Amino acid sequence: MIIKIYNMKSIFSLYTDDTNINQIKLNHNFSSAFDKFDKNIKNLSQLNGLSDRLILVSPDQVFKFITIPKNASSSVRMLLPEWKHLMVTTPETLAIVRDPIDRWISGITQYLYAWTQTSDKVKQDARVSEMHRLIETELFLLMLFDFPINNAHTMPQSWFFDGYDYTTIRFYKYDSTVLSRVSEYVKVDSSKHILYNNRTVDSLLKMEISDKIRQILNQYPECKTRLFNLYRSDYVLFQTITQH
Amino acid sequence: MKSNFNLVIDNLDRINLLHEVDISSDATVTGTKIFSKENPPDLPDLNKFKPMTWGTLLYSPSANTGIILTPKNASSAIRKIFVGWTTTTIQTALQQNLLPADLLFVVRDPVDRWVSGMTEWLTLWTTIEPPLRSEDKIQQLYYLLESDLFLRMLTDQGIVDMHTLPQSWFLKGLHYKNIKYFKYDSKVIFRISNYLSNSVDKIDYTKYNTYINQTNTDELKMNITLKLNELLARSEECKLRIMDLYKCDYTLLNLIELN
Repeated sequence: MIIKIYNMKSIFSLYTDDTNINQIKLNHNFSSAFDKFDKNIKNLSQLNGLSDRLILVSPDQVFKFITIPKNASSSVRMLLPEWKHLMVTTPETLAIVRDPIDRWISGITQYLYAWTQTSDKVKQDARVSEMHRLIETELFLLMLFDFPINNAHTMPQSWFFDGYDYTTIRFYKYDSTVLSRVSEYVKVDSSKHILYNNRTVDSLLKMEISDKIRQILNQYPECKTRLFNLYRSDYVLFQTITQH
Repeated sequence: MKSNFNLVIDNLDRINLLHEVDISSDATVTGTKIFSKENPPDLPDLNKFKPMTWGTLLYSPSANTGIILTPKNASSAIRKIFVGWTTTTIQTALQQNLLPADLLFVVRDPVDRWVSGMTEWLTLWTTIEPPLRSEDKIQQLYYLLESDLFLRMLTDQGIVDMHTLPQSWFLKGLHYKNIKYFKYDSKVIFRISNYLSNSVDKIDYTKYNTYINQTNTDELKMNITLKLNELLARSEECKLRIMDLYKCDYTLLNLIELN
């Protein structure tokens, strides 16, 4: 199966025709009135240059790295400080992809956490307390699934490959060894770099937020189904690529 | 370089709109202040809009008249009043050459409409799964409404469903100059009816009061509306965020007034 990810429309039409669709068990029975809106938000999203800012090119211009938010992108930038943002053609293109739901949890956690951050310590403490109360409220957590895409951290990963022929990209699946695998391939010494692939542990609040969201996902299969639907292009991508 | 205005109109990209639009200087000024007869918008018509939604058309073939229904713009009331009229989409009407000569559209203040749309979305959470209102969910919603952080997040989300999509998007496929506009207020149905009095008869007003102001009859909705309006009154940042989100609707309002 050869896919060129021109845009969301093409990959969704491909997915509709793909027999693998049944493997993901897309039971579209979540009774929110806003299922239709998912379609709108997908159509609305065209990256229009966003991906350009996320490209790193090696000094010898052999490699291009598409850094996707929440896919160890900060760690990659730290690992490859000599690489620059350039719009050039390179023989090889690399990217890290991540389990879509795992990535969404990380992204939505970051979104919520960001609301508590301010330079005013008193205000920040108050906001942290307020966020604690919010994540104890089931209705609040359920509402998050009605606006799951907030920013680049929760945009589907496949959107970042808009216009690329994915068959020419060397993909790495996100896990605790991903940076060492990347550094080995591009011949960069990673020994001085911490594999900073789980920044959520930086903050107790972040851990609590992500734990609560996981609880909801386990409690309400409909929520998981919504994410499957929303990120189905990512699941196609994830299932189709060759692991490196 | 594209102006913020063009960015919104040409792209209608929610993600870019929320994260690329510079919320500073002119961008924070309302359409009314940006545009005037001396300084008209740099857009010849609304056909440049690229909405995702085909509007719903309620029309009377015999009267050669149609009303474009827009969520939160008295659409339920209009449906109840103009019983017997035919419903189709603008897309179908265009394809089958059914578009009436006289097209009407109710346009509403964008911030007012956002509050109403967001209120509807929030209220819906108390009615779904289980289908009847759950007292627990209502209590939780009241609790959330006390959270400033939560209310601010709602302004960050902006568009949550069809009721909060920009109203100008429902004009997809039409030229704005060929439409008769009615500004939304408590008398809008009467003004529409008066306008159509020569071409339409037997208008049933009996359910008018039930549908035109549903929000005012529901305590929960009234509370949500109050909380959202209070937030927008005390937070300029939140209000400007909503105004930026609906720039295309402000453009529509300006174009109407300029004509």
